[in-house]
Amino acid sequence: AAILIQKWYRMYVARLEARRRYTWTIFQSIEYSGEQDQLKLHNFFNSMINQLKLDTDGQPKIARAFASSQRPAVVASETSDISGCIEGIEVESSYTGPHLTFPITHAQVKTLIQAFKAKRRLHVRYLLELLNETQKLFKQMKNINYASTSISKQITVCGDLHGKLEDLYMIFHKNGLPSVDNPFVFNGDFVDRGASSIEVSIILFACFLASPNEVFLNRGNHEDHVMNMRYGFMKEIIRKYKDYSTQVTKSFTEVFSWLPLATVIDDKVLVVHGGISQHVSLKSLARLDRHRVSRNESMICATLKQQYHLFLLTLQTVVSHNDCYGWSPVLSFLQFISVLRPPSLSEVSSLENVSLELQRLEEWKQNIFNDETNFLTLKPTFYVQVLDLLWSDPKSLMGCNPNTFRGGGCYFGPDITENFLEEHNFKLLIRSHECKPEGFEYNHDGKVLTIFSASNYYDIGSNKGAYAKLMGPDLTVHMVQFLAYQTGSVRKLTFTQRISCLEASAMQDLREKILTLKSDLMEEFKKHDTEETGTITIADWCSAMESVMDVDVPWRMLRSKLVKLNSDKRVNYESTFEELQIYHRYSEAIMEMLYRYKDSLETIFRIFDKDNSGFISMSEFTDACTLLTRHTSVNLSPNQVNDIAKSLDLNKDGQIDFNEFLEAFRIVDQKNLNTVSPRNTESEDIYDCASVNSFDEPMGVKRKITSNSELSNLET
Amino acid sequence: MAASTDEAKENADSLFNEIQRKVTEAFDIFDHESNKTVDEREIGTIVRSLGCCPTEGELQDMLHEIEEEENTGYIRFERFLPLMTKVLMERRYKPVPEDIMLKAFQVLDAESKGYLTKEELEKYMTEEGEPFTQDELEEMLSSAIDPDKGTILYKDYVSELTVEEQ
Repeated sequence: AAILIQKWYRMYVARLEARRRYTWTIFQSIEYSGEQDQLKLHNFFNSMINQLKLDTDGQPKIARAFASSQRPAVVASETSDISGCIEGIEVESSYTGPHLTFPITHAQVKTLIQAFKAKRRLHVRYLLELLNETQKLFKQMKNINYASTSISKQITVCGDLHGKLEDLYMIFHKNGLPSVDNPFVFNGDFVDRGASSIEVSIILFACFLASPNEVFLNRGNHEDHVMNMRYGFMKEIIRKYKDYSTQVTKSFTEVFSWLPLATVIDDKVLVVHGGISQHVSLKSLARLDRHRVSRNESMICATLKQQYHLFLLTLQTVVSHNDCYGWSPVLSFLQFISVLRPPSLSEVSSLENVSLELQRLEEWKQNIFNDETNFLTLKPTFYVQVLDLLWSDPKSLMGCNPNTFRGGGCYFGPDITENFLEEHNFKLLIRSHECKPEGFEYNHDGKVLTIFSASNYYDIGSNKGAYAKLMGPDLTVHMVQFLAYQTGSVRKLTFTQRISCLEASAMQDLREKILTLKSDLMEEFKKHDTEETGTITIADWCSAMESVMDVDVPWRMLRSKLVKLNSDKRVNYESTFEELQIYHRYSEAIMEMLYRYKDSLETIFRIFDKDNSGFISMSEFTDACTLLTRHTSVNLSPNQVNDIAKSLDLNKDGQIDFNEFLEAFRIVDQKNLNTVSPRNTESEDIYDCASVNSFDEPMGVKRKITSNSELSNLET
Repeated sequence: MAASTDEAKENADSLFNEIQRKVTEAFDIFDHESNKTVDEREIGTIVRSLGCCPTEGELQDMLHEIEEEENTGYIRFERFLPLMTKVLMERRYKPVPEDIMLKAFQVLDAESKGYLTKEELEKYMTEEGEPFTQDELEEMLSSAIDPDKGTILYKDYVSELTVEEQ
């Protein structure tokens, strides 16, 4: 009897574990397929630059919108004066939020934390002043921070926070605030996705200003203007600082571009957000000008550089036949070609044109770069290095392979890690960038440690957060895990209930994704349904799902939750879409397609919305949809686009409120007629960490952590 | 005659293919590094998640068949697939129906109280059969103990877990 019960129970637990695993797979696949989308958008913008056509007034319409709104990232020096943004902003006497004076002290850090817990907002003037001071200090720092534990004898390393204030509070609650005896490294991705990116940034920057030698901030791939447009930080800025969103955005972008790229602890441990590659070398990294290199900029630079070389070659060919200019001094001045004036052969038909072109380029260069940095000496690998630092993931496969999941950086293998650590005489690489169920994970035989500090990242109960304490002369690693919850939310779930909740939430996300591809799926189903019975075999259903959906999930295991079978075990494929339907308040036409590309559309909108007003004109909207159809292979006829535009222009004044447009999408659960999406991710609650339980139950299989002998200790 | 045996063969083939795909899916979920190997400690979980209910001893036998000669601690997919397919085709290790489970608990309930105390369950689960680890015991207790009574109402527990399964 005992054996029966034991094996029955073990089977039950195993099935629960499988469910937990595929729930995780679903969340992660959906997340990464979104990132792939972002890459496609980037690639699209790059190819767009290559193919610019001049229209009648000599300026490509789309490029102008793109270029001028891209200015914060591409034309960095123009906006380096944050203090210019602050002028004229006064703090009203009616303001009840926290006041800041500079230099920032530890006491002020505490004031800020208390204020945010009381749901106050920092006045925009103080925010801009804070950003200004932060940027000034960052500017003086090198690309790589060097941290030492000689005084403190220990140091704490935290991973991604993604705007989750409750997790930051939890870390400070458990580990204390930063100070001379308590240094911290924060490893990037402070913003996007969570509800309080601004507050998290403010606290981190304030901590940094109060203890600049004890708080080390690394740049993450989300400290990037274009990422912020898609992943929520921009939205948060517009919501919280509506009237000053342009200044705030510019200032944040400026500060981000000056963030150091990595931190070295005691010359033994490297902390960087993404990872490494065969191109990465700390020596060459130390030399480059990190301010010029943000992700989108680096990609644009790559394209422009190609163009530029082509142009140069052309020029060279023409001029050398006329035996005029000495090229070396000229070459040393020529920089990147303006986005607004791509080169064209026809322009270089005469000597006069050449000198004009050179002059133009020189002017352009002086407008953009205020120093003499000679970009010709910058090897292309420099910005590739930065991409690799911020976007790479460790994998078990040897060597360096392009990171196809994310679209940037690479997959680096154990050999790359080994070589890198040996070359620099380091003993450990700490990185973040990937969510892990336990909040941390070791790879490459204990030589790579991933730390992720945003608990409940995908949904409540999805994962723990963690931070690492490196202690003693050997920097022994002690992991601390935690779960931070919103006050009042359900906490006392059993293991089983927690998995069921999480599974339901993942399934919901999956169903939404399925819904966006309904017409493609139906087409595929019908191909298998040769006799038009409305049913197909299970195998056919699975293969249809595999081929149409671009997420890698176990369809066979999920089948019973997604579709109905009829009496002879065939799948009634229409039931795939039974539960949910997309409603859009304003536009019946093409709503499925628009919903599918909602995130990309939003990014494009934001690029067009130069003044961050939340409004774009009808013609800009049409341009945005055209951009979208070019970047995907979807056909939106001009008529369809016009129809949508007209229906969106509610008060017929030629302006579209695209926030309203996006908010207007609702996924409605047919059965209960409840709105199930969007889930309320924008709650403004500030979480009181003192009331949080420490959660002792495991998130999954209790595996022994394989690691070096030095790595030990799990605390909860 | 020929037609129906052809059909029968076709059905058997497609069943075989379906089973193979099922096994592949289950394996992939636990293939943490996406390199077609899993930690051997997870094999039990995979086998059970496919609906089989082997004892620990039976699992060990399975493992011996498919583990590498040099004990790497990892099981490769190429070895796992044929064995697992066979297991499923032969319907080995079928799970026990609810009424038998109930009887098993009743056997442990020597005094026929209709419930088990925490101590009784703990004793049987850790001393008899293929004993639970401390962790397994704690997990089972946390879900099995009725919060109001502090005892294990096994009839309800069996029903609850069977429903969850379905």
